[in-house]
Amino acid sequence: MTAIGPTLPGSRALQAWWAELAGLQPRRFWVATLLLLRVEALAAVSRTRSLDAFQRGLLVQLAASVPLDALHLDPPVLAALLRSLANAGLIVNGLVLTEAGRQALVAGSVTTVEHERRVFWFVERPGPLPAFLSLLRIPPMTAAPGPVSFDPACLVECVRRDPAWKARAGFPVDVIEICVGAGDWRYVVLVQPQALSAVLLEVPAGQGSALVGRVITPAGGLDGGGPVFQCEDDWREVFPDLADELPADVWQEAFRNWVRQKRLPPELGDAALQPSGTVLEVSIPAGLCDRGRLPEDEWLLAGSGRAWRAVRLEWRG
Amino acid sequence: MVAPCLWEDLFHNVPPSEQARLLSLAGSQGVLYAHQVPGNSTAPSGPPRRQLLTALLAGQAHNLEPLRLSTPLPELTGLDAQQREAVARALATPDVCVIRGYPGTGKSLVAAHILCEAARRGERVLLVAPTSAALDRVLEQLPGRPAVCPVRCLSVGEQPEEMPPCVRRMTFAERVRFFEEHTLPTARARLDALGKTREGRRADEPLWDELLDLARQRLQQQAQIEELTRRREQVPAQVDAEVGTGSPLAERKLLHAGELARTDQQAGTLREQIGRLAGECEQARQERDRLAPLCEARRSGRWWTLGWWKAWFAGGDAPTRHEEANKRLEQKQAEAERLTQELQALEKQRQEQEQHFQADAASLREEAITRRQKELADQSATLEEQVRRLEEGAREIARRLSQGAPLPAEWTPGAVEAAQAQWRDLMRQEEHDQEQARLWVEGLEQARPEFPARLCNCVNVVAATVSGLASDPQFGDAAGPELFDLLVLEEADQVTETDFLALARRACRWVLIGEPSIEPGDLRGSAAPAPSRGKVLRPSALRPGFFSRLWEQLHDDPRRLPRRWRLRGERLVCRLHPIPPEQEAWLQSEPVADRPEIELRLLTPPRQAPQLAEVAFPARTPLAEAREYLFRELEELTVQTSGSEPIWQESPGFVVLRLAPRRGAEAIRVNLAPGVREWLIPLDEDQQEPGSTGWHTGALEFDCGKGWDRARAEEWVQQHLGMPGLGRTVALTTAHRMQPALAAWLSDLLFDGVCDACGPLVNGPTSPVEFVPVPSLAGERSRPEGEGRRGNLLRASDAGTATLSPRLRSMKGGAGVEIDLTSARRGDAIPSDLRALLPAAGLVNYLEAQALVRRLEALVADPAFLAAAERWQKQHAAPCNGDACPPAAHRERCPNVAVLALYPAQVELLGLLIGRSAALKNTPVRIELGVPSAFRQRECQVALVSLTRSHTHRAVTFGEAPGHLIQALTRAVERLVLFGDPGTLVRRSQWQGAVDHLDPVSAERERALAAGLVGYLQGIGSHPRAFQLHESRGV
Repeated sequence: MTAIGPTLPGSRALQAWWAELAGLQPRRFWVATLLLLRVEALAAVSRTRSLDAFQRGLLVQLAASVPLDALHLDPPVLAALLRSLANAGLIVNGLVLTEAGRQALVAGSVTTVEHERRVFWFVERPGPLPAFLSLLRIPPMTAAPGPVSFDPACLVECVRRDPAWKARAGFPVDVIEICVGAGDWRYVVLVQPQALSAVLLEVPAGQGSALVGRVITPAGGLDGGGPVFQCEDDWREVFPDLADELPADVWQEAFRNWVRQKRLPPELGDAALQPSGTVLEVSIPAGLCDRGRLPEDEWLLAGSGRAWRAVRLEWRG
Repeated sequence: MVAPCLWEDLFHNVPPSEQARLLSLAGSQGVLYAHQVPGNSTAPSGPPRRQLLTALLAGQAHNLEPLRLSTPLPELTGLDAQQREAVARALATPDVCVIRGYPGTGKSLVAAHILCEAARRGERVLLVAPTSAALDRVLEQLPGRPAVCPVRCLSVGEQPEEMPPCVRRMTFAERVRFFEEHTLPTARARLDALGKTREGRRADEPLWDELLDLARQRLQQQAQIEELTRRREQVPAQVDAEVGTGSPLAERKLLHAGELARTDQQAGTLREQIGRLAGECEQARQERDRLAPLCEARRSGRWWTLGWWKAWFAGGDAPTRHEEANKRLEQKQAEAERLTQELQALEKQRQEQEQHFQADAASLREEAITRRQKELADQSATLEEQVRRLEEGAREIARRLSQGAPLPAEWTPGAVEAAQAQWRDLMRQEEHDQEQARLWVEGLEQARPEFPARLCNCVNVVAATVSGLASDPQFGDAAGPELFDLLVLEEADQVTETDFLALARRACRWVLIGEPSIEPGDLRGSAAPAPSRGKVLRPSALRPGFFSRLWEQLHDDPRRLPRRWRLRGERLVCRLHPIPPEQEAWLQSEPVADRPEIELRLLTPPRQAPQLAEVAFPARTPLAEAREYLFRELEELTVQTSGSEPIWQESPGFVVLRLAPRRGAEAIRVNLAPGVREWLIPLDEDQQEPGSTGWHTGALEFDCGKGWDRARAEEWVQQHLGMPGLGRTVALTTAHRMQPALAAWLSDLLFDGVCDACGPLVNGPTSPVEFVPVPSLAGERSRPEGEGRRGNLLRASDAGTATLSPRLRSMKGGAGVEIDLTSARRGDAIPSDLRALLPAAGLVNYLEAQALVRRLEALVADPAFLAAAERWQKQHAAPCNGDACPPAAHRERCPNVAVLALYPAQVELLGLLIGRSAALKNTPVRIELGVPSAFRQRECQVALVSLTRSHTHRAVTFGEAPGHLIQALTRAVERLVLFGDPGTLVRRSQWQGAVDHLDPVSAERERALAAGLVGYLQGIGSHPRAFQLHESRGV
């Protein structure tokens, strides 16, 4: 896997994004370039559909052993309707209800298993296996450079997980099996790595927090289409590297770099820092510089790897 | 959120080798990464199959994987092996299949089976044809096949009333109407009927109680009757038992006993007296007997006897005493006699008394019995009358029971109760039925709004004309891009490429069915060269349709094989590869080391590697030996054939690839590999080019006994012949419509003999093809040779059929009897009353029309033909009732006689003449007139074809296009009668190049056709016995 890092925006861009995102009351704020894996595989999908009036009517009649000629349907249409029932596994031998047919008659709906190719998105994360990520929509992405690896077992494992996790993670609950293996060309799993530039926001959700992703457009703005993904409480599982607070030395180093870039007195780089959500409080040592000369609405990016923490600088002292 | 899936498109978009590589990679890695797939796979560039189609139409068929049928051909009844193979290949093809069939070879039948089989496999099929007739011809064969739910889309301006009933039922509107006007009302009516029935049943309930009550009463009465009967039976015994009790009989018996006692007493007294008298008689007899000797002795006076002395001493009165004794004895005896008589009388009296008594007793007994029994019988009768009344009452009640109610088997309580139980079961069943019917009606009412949509889902065969599909509200363009699994395009040869591409977008696979365009090279007498791949012989605007192009792309035409055998001087040369004339100078000969008489000729152009181009044998080398040598030593299968339709045939023990039709028994066998033989057959004279060996490959034969099967043979052929063997084409060459002799003649005339007759060729008493020359040539026979334009034109052939002599070729024109109605100059050639009824413009031939009508009159007067026509009508008289429509149901489409003319004006003229013919007025024979296009997708028993044209000096066309004439020639099943001017035909056959409106290619087709006809007129042709010249008198 090739690590890809974000193209870091400047304070002005961050300030503009913040103006757009502040309404979400983010607790923390990152700028990230995520490596997403588009995984296309043949899935067995369970579908429940309501019986339509014809199906229900026919099943009722067949269950009651009503002779077919008493239905007075156009014979080819009747044959086609019976075929559709047989194809759905509701009748056999032309006229006999199966157990599924009887259940369907009681429930008023029929559950069938169909095979179709489905696309699943996974996001690379620190650790051996990528994590499933439920995209709310497919944003414009770029092909990620370099080789990637993906183990289909990862996808199969997702299918096996409990419904509660699937509900939280947004994994499609109708997928009951992934068809993998050799022997059938349809079983081939196609993996496409894609790079997604996004801002990540930890926002309050109920008692805990959620992680919301917004796409950064190639023009440098935020995509107006709303979140591209939203991970609920267990977002730390998907983004474990964002769970913990950055170490103090990382903050200090990032701040020093910022001081250098702004050509401020180097001593300012040693100022005491206190990160707090989206704010980094900087305690200015007394007499070091005139506070009025320090830039306002400045943003600092700290961190490494795929996601950088963004904080607004607040001067103290 | 729906993400597009790439893999399926991608996989179908790459060649088979790439597919194999990708699958192998995926197998080893577990997944396939985007960078490993060819090109930029993030988005497919378009529907892959459409790309494939575009490539195919552009002549790029090299990426196709050969299609081999791994499974045995489906068991389809009513199809021949070719037709079964066509169905199997159409179903198995992953992309395209082209089925080409000559007229009458069963293309529509094959299309119908493809639809059925595809539908049976759960596929949705789009059936399209350029004409409604073609569409309906296929659809008519679908009713009664439960797997198919077809919908026939209406063409623009088409009225359902114009359709055959069975096809009309298939329109969307009719299916909806059936639901609205039959299914729903019938379901409601059934519900109402069941409701009424149930009400009636409920009303039965008290009747059953009454019935049961009556039955119980009847049972009681019956019991009484039985008791009386029993008692009646006991009456005699009872009377007998009552004898001792004071009954008259008893009294009589007592009286009788008294009388008997008295009689017996008297008889006893008499017997006693008689006994006493008998004793006295005995005493008297003894005394008499004792005295009798004494008396005798005394009476005789023989005193010297002891007896005399005894009598003496006994007394003197012995005779007296003897006399007395005798008298006494007689008295006693008389008395005894009297008493005995008295006794006897008494005994007789006793007997009579006994008899009287017995008689009296019996009479009294009988009387008693009768009386008593009568009394009982009277009682019984009364009871029976009551029972009868009860039963009558029960029957009356039963009559009041609702219809269908079970009736008791008998009027016993048990039977009534059983019937009542059945009635209750029936009630329950009807209640259940009513409930189900109610649910069904409710369901139907509920489903009513969605029925059209549901019907769209049910339909698995959508049939439409090319023009009708786009505008169809359910399945047309407006309905959205619905994708079908299979497109079956009937009469694909009539469809433009643009239309086809538009249709192809709507299906994943395509099956194209059509007739071959009759190429000049296919027709007898044509010297057109065999087409070569990629070589365009005509202007682009006149190129064959996409159907022909696809056929050429996909079909293995063995004429394209590069090997050529030639006799060049003293050498028999096999050219292995084509050599451009300019390179022939680079040929170098080299003798074979161990066979110096054989030369290898190498092509050694500068800066190129030498290549073996030819092998030359001594001219005397047998062909089989030369071919075997080349195969053995060079592994070169040197097949050269003039046949265009390779056909796989499987017979017991052999798999045969037939490359050219075999016309004679002569053949040379070439042994190639173990179990593989090449059969050489003689070339027709007109197929022989300069230097030809006179032989070509007729077939390759594989011996199943040596381990060959179809699949292995196909591989072998592909390997050795180099033909791609894509397996996506099937040629239907067995003519099923026509009778064998007619089919063979047409095949020879039109299809280069490719078409097979269905059945053995038997020469009947009459030829299936007649040619009636107009004007008549009969008068010309008498002229001396060279006199007159047609001098000595006719001669009798050995077969007894008249043919025109080879001098026909020297003719320069026809009789000129055709009339252009626009020309005022010739207007007087037609009777004025007829002329007034004819159109203002058009071509007619009055003489020919007269000849045709006369021939028609003769035909309908022929008893043999009338019998045959009746049989034909019976065969085609099965009604089309909309539900089940037998293939030959559409009587209106199969007349006995089709009168065809190539020009509408001639059709009108013929119609007028036929209308005026008294002989044709009341004929039972069904006659129909029209131009050839009116008989598209139809057949007739006999076709009378008026060629119409008769021009004096120049070559003229026959109809709008050669296809029309071919259509006219291929409609008849039994007999074809042609009317034409031989001179005009000869002139036409001699003219090379464009004529009138025909472009050079069409003109050449027509010329070749005319030449073929002229050939038969001259007695040249493979089936001369099938052709007969028939003079029409008076013309």
